[in-house]
Amino acid sequence: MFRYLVRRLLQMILVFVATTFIVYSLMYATGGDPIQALAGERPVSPTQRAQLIREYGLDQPFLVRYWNYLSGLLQGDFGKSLTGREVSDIIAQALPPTIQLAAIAIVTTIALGVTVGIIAAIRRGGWFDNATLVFTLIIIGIPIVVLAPLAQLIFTIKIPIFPTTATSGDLYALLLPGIILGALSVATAMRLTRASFTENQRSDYVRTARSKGLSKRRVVGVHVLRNSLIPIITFLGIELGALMAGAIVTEGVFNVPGVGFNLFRALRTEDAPLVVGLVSVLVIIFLVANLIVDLLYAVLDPRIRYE
Amino acid sequence: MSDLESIATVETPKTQERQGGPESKPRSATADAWYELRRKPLFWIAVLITLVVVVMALFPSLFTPNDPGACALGRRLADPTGAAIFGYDVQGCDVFAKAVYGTRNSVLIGFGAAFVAGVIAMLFGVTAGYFGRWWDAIVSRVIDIVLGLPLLLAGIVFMKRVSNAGWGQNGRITALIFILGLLGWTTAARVIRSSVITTKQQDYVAAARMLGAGNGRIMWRHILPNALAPFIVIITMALGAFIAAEATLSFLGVGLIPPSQSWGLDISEARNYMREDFVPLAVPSAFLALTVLAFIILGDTIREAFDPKLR
Repeated sequence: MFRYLVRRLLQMILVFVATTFIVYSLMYATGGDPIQALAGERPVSPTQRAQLIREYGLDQPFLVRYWNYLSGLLQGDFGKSLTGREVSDIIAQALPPTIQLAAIAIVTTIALGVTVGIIAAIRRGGWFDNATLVFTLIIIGIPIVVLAPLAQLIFTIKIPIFPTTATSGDLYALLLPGIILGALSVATAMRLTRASFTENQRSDYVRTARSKGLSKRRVVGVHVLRNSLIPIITFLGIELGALMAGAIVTEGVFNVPGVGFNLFRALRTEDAPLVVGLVSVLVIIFLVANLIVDLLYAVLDPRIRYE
Repeated sequence: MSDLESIATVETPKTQERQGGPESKPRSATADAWYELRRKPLFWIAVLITLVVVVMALFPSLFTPNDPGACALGRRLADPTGAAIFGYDVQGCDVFAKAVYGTRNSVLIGFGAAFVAGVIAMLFGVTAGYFGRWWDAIVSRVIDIVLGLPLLLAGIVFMKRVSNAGWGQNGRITALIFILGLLGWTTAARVIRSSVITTKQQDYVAAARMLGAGNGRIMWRHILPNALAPFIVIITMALGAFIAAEATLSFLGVGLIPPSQSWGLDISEARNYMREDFVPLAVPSAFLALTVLAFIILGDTIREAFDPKLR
């Protein structure tokens, strides 16, 4: 277990360094003139330019700058945005709405996806099962750029039960964007639950439990359910990381001032430090979620041993 | 893309012949799958939509006589007429013609990116699984790194650079094909790799080697065909995902830009006045959703046909 953990951590560090390096070099090495981007439309005098270049460390070689950035990151220093604000401040402000969105999406996934998946698996081949299969296919097939504006049109304008935008950030306003964000996960969770449940229903231990004379409720609710939940929990963990990165469109459509929204605005204004900072945070969340899921796997299923 | 792997893990079909069927001759796994597949109405619906979309991409003028670029502000949000069956948008452009002409870019980028991703996945997946050792270690780490960059996130950052470089319309299309392809090959490569690792220990591979077959021949003729079914499933579904990604990037303003025709652009523009008129939003949305759906259903039905457990 310990050796596995060390190996996984080393892999994580490699992935983190490589991904941030890619984004860092894309934002800095090939970008336009960062000093001009900082000044906007105003002309910059040579003395000002020289001072700014020194202040932001642009006179140093590229790799040295990346190294400085990385070591700053380890101490929690994300650097300064081009607007002069600390990047860590912006992140601290943008994370809560995004986390709330992702949480709503995950709760919807569990409440709807897992329950419906279980019912479909128990009544396999029935009309409910077939309807679920078609429904999940449709949801998986509709891209979020279609789903988000359409939901906004239907549920906030035609039938105004939700506010059109969620700028204020109160929980009720975040409900609709959260559900939209989770729609794909709901569909995937339904299919996964159904598949895993069906497979376990055919296994030997279920037959044993049945022949012992246990009630159907107990067989399904205790024996099958516990074993079927393993792949679903893994899926949910990985999905949590993916959801936070995938919120760009949803946050844009519903004006949620979260990570995706800020990231997109930072890209528009060429705010390289902010872009790199936000991407770094998203990558860290994604990687940590993956690691936790992998470790959880061994806890949930004692048959799995990590060497 | 993370869910594709779980959806598309196909069990290698058992070689033993199956009972039943119209003629009880032994059939190959592919023939078996084809027999299952052609009885499914959902499969044929998906094939039909795919064919219509491809024909529309090749010959858009077959579907509409109007020019999507011929706009007149005088007929702003005008009602449908015989010539423009879905009416006009806020700029007075034919909504249906714009959607029809948008098909070409979507299909071009989808197929192009799937081709790039497929070639990379095949090259890396087969060689990593076959040679193992240090090459496998390197490829696996590269896959980890690419997976660490979410498709949309990385796509935005990469395309932003292309925007700054000031590339023209064709340059942007090429850039989208290669960027999406370079970011989207990992799942397929993993599936091929694991399938190659199980196949290479089979007796017939050892037999081929003893008969003097070289590495290239063994990989191409004896190992690759076994990994093909799951590979086709993943690439078909990825094709839908790439088309959706193009629309999303264009929607966000970093993909294609006017005067290119793109469903994502149409959706993004129509969203601004959907309170007044929702038809210009609904038409490109329906085109996009149906196309992506067709590819997802295609992949899903093929996977089911190849999976003996689901029969």
